[in-house]
Amino acid sequence: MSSMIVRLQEERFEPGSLQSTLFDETNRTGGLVTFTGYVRATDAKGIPLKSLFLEHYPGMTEKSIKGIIKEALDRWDIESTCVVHRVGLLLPRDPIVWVGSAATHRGDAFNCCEFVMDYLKTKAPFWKKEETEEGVRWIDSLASDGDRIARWDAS
Amino acid sequence: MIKVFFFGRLRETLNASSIDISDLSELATVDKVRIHLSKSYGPIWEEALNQSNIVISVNQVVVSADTAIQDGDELAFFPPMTGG
Repeated sequence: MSSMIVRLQEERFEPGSLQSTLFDETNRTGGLVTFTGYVRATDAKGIPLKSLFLEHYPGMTEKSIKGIIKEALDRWDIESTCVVHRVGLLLPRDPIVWVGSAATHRGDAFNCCEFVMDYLKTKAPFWKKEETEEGVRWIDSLASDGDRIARWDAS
Repeated sequence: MIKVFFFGRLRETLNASSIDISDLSELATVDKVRIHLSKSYGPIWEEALNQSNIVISVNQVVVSADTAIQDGDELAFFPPMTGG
């Protein structure tokens, strides 16, 4: 039985301690792949970022992430998966998201981590708004994120 | 009655987080709800709710425009997601 941890929180998280928690979930892990997403220090034009606000849809966001993980579990042999995503007001260089997947073999862990992260970008209800000295603006979704999803659909 | 939530840029443009709709007659699908709202609250709502990239969910699951709705459903309209 594969374990699954999904957490949304305003507080900072420590990637190292999350990795230890995930590793301790089972004693069958032979490979553990993690991804940490951070707030960039500048916007797309290179202007220093003051803050990043992350809005979500309480209830649906958690459900969507669990659905994405379940889909990954159908594809690969995974021991445990963890997604921690922050919401609310974040500062430049803050960690935003952490995805970890543990498996008996590394191939499954690599695939699961990347799949969950790719789907999370476009299928979980989060919206980013960034603030610079030029003002506040909602971030548009990227076509390249959709391309990454299409790649999994084709595989 | 149904409840319709708005998120992200759409929530700010409409200046509304949610709205209740009591009279569901002639509102058989989520697209009919969208059209009803776009015609009921002036040009800002009309323009915002007619953007082609709006995502719609019913009971917290993303659906297509022709999805039927029922009394008690929770709808949401929002822009494409930008998480991660």
